[in-house]
Amino acid sequence: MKGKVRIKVNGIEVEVDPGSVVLDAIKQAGIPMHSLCQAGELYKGASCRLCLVELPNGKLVPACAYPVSNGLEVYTRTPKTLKTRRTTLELLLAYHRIECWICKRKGDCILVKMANDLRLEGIPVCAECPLHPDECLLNKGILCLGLLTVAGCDAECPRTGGRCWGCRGPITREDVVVRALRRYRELGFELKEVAEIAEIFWSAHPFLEKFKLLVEGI
Amino acid sequence: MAGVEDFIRLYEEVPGVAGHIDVRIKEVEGRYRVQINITQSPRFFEISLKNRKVDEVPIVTARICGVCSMAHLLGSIIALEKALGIDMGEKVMKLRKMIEVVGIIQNNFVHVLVALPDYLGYRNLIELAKAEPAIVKKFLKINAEVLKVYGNIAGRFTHTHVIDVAYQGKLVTRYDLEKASKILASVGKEAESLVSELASRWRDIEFEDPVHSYLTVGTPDYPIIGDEIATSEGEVADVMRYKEVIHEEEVEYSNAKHCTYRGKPFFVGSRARVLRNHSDVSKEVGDYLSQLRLNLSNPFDNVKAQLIEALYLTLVAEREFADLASAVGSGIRLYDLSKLKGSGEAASAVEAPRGLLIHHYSVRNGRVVAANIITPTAMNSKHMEVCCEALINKLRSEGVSRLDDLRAYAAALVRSYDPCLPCAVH
Repeated sequence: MKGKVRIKVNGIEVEVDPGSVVLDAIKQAGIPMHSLCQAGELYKGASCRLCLVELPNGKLVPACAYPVSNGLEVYTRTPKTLKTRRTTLELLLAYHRIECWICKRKGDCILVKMANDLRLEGIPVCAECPLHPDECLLNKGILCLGLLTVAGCDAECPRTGGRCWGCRGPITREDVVVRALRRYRELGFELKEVAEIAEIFWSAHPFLEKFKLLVEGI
Repeated sequence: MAGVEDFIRLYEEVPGVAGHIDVRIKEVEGRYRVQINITQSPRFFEISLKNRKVDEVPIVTARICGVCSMAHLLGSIIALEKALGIDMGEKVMKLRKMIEVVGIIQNNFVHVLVALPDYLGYRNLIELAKAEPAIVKKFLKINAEVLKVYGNIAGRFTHTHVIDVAYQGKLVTRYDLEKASKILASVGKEAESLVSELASRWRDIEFEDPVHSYLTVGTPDYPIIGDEIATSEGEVADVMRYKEVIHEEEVEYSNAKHCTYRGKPFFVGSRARVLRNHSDVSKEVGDYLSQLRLNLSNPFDNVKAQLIEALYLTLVAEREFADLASAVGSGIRLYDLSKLKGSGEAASAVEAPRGLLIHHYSVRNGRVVAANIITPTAMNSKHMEVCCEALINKLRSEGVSRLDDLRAYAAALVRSYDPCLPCAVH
């Protein structure tokens, strides 16, 4: 075929138009890829660094900015790329104001999907919970522990009509916990009751002591 | 622990049961004495429930057991709702009863499969699966289908989270119930062919109950959930009087208590339920009853009773789900959290797959002050021991003296009760 560029992604041969970038080829090959391009204007100019791919010489390049050329070979899921991406996402999350319970992207959050894929914890169950913020169980007076619990279960309990009991363990980032506790208080719940329920599943977790101090201090 | 060391361990761990149990024998004046020791360690659930808020109780009690979590969940919910005076309405109660029925069906099929090698002449399940994969696959397929029903009506099978005190969180629609009915219809057909197939090959172990006395939930129809306890002597007692009917005592060698009724050991479970409601069962599945040659005074036939019961309940549940589907209207979903701060005391009687389960709570200002749970395996444990002793002595008088043979029979007897040791000690 004339006018097309041939490149190999994870060993799969793809033909793309000249002038496109590696990410286009990856998408065309149907390979899932971490990136924040969906977030629009937020991370312009290859700045999120989540779509790093490895070249045969071991160099990491951002797929969304690296132009394709004939005979180029890239690998998307090597230990090196995954490790780098994990660190990058961890840093991005550290800067992210986690307040999933009032977020409009709740239930369809790219960050939590990537975090689950990269085995990164620290996002509350709310990020995966499909209930609209107005439909939140807390608004109905049902004490749900989703605000304080690590996501990764696809919010199975709130999804099928139950409430979260915190069985996946606590979020250990203090600012998130403090914001969540403030939210509980705002909606008229006793923080002591929250701590009591938390104790059911977290009784052996090292964070519980700290958590109780936070509850008292707020 | 005096008096334990001089017993010979017939079994260190009985295989094919949930939990740790061992069988010990000792020869005293020409007779064998048997001790069944439940060595599973207790987890003190009743104490950890103390001072909990009522809506947290079911989530904890469900964890007593992974196999019959639904029975514990429903038992505590019903007792607490009674204590607080909460009425969830007929539809929700019917739905809960059906959920428990599906639980019994699922458990029975799985347990029949686990106990099947004893009655088809194989040493264990692996051998059975190697020799006759078709039978094992049939059981596994039925299990998978029944679990689908659970997904539709109760969120998930183990430790479900959608039912709580005064809380029916999952919206159960007409579509869900109709689907459940359809699935159970196909399961019923498969089960019928399976029962006929097994009936022709079932090798009976001849034995008679030394003590024939049983307890079930007292309801006019098939016992599942009720307010009364019925006994084989015809006594019907309100469940709050359970302490007069069931006498519990601790024994030094076992972690589970031994239970007696009027000084006699008794059994609970599928055999007791089928005995209690024999006329309904024989009306529905009479052909299979005679095909299987069900002898309800033989403890080994508890496995047959489980199979028959599972078949019977599948056929009944199929119809009842269809009835419920036409009655639900826009779906069942209900919660009322206003009464959770009340006080009161109540007990509930629920039929777990293994038999009668009693939950008793007293509540003050929305918090549990005292809790008591009596589980079916604890009720069975004394009867199991008495039966095992009688069986081993009978075998001995028939000339079976090799320890290995006695071992196999004792294990088969223990398995036939479908004991759940985590429940027994809780």
